[in-house]
Amino acid sequence: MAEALRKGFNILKPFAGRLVTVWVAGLLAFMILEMSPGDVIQTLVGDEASLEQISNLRQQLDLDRPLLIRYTDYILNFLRGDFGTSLVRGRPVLQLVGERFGNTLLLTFSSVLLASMFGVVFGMASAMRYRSLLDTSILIATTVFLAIPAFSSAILFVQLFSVHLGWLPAVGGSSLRHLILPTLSLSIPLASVITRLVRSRLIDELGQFYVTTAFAKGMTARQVWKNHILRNALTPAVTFIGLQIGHLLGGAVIVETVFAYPGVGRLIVQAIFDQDYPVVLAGVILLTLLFQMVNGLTDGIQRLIDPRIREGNETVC
Amino acid sequence: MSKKFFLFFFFQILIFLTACVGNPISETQQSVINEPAEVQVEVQSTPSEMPKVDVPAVGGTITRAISSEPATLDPSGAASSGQNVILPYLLDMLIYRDVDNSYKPYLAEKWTISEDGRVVTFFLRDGVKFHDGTPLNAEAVRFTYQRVMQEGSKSPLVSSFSNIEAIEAVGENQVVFRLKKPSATLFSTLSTAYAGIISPTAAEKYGDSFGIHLVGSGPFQLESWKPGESITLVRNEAYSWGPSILSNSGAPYLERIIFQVIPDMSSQLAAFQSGEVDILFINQPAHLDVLRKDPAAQVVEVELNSLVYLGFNVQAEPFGDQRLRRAIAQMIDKKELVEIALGGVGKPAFSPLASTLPGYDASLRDESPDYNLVEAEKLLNEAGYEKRADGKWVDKMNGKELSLEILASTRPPNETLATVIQNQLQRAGVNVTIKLLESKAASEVATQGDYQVMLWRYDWNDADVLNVYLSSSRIGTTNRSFYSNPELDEILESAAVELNEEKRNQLYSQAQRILIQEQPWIPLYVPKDYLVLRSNLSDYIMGPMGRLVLTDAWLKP
Repeated sequence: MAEALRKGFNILKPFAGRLVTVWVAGLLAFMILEMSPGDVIQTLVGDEASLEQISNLRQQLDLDRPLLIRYTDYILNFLRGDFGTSLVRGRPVLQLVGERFGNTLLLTFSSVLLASMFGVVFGMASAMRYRSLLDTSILIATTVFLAIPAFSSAILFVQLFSVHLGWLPAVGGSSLRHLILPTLSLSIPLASVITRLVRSRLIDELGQFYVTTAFAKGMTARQVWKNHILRNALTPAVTFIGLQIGHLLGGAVIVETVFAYPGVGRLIVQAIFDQDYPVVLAGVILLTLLFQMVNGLTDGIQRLIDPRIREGNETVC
Repeated sequence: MSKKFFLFFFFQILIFLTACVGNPISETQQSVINEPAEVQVEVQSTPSEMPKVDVPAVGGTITRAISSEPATLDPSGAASSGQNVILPYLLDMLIYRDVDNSYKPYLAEKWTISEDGRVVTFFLRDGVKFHDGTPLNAEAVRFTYQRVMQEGSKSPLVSSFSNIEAIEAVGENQVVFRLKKPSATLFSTLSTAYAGIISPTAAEKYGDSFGIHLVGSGPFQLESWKPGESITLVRNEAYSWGPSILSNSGAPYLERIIFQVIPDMSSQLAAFQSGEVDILFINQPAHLDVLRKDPAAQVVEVELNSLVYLGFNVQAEPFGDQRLRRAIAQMIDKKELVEIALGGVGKPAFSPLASTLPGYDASLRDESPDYNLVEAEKLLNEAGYEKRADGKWVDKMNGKELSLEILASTRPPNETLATVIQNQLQRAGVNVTIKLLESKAASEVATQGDYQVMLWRYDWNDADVLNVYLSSSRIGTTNRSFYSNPELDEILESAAVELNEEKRNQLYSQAQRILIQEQPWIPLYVPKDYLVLRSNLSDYIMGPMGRLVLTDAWLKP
């Protein structure tokens, strides 16, 4: 019985940890918004409203109640699946976030997919032709691409592909064509990091004795790469890519702004300026939740790739 | 050999990249864009030169860039700039405000004002229908305004409407406003887009989501709203009640207007150049240079109903002293300020009323303290300061250096403005520090009076703005200068209830004279915007308050 309980606890432990992370993120967002100066009433009625109108609205929006009560209420409603109503937009928060969430997912995952593909291919090419002209060019190219922040490449892309060549739209997000430039700007620096990571891991592994042994046993290069080298080398890359998804989910705001792409990031930033806390909270909580799910998935993939993790050694992230 | 080749290749890449990335973004764009356009500068035509004999063609879609998505389109919901831009196409107002600030019939065919000025009756025109078919009658007007006044309303009209005792619908087409006291501002209030009439049936049907399903009676109706991206309006074929001063009182020629949300100004510019956007507003000199050379663009200068000023907190010593305030005003070279900080995109101001507002008195120019360091020194000596050997002004009583802190929001171009002012005042011997806060925080600090001088801006459509910001009854809310002058209060109060335009202007003249004398504000400049339109868009009308009327507009093939 006790054994079963402990086993159950061991399975649930990581989930509990993840849920606590989500809760802490939400709490932090709430506290920071409360502590920052100004409030949502200013957004609603501007600077010229009368004191009477302000106090009426404050009452109507329940902003006159103590912080703790409002927070408890919010959490209770949240647990019931009610994310509340935007104070500024007057519509259910879930609707507002939902309308844009798909766009954000699309942009994030297409960028990560593209970056991973190029990263792994170029990383492998580079490692296989270690110290060749190809390797050095890839090294230099990645250094350069890493140094260009996504927003400036975004502006260059718009100038080149939209203004001069007229091939792709500069703004908007309603079709797949709109997705190309933002995806490109986000994935280039990411692909560069992944290339470097994969390359250095592969070079490390190639120098290991087990690789020499494997070749000595008479395994074909293909077998050695597939069964040994890649498996070992790609584990950290998977972890890294998983973390990057979290970074891209909320951090694509600048690229969303340059391309006027209708993602969640811009909605949250606008809500922060408006001090529209239900929207900020729901956005932060959903993104953290998603990030935690991706992390869980990454752990799972790592377990598949690396038997050492599968057999009980805890992962760090 | 291969090494050499490789090094060459490497430097090529390096040179290419530094050339592209090294410059500030705007410059990069400029240099890239200018080249192809320059050749054609000569053939650019201005709208006035365009032949007007063409017959307007029905059809076509134009896209206008807006910097922020409206939170809601409900005129009684949270106001925003995006909402203010879109509403005039969707809604009709009772009256139309012309560029000369006179009022013309619109939904109201005519109106009467009672002897004591407290009863205003509007007579509505017949046959007006909302987009959902509901007739626009007196009851709809009453419903719309009742909604503005109800508790918890977020409408920006609430404080203006506090003077209204009751609104009654008499029969089908008479609306009676009963006022607590006569109001000189009622008409300007009713001509704003926030006072547009909405369909009562639609408002009841949609409830909380009316903000995304707005139904009015305007020349265009709401077709679709892609969240975070764009709002599309389609022409209202049944429209036949446009204000008579337009040449087209029927349905508009344009088939669709799309409002595309593009937060970044450089992206708006790029979208214009790539043909995705046809109309945008700009105010950055660098962008202006680019577009003036673009043959696809017509650029129209728009003076705003706004003023940028330095406001003193007259309760913060030593700024209660009028002589000191005047002296500081004389140390600021407004022309240089506008040139350096704004690249000339603004008009130096001397009156606390923006030059576009009714009641503005240009003849007071001579009474205003101009840039004059000699005069300033005289005034400061009078006020008890002396110039030390190092050129700094010190208080004779306690030997403290004269210094001030400028409070401003982080919104551009405030930082540049504050820096240039700092530079000018320091040249004249006054220490200046700058405190920049996020706009809400800055506004909170200013309302509490926890500052010395604020760099501020107002956007207002009536001379009553002086009452809002400088009358002593507003101390604690909008009078952030804590300025209190019984004489001014009295003038502003009588102006607010004076219906005779000439008398009203005289009163505002007096008010401006007092404020120019006392300088609780140092008016700096009236900001300008530039409206950029695709050159084949003809017969658009620039209304007051930067409103672009498109009922007459059509696209040249």
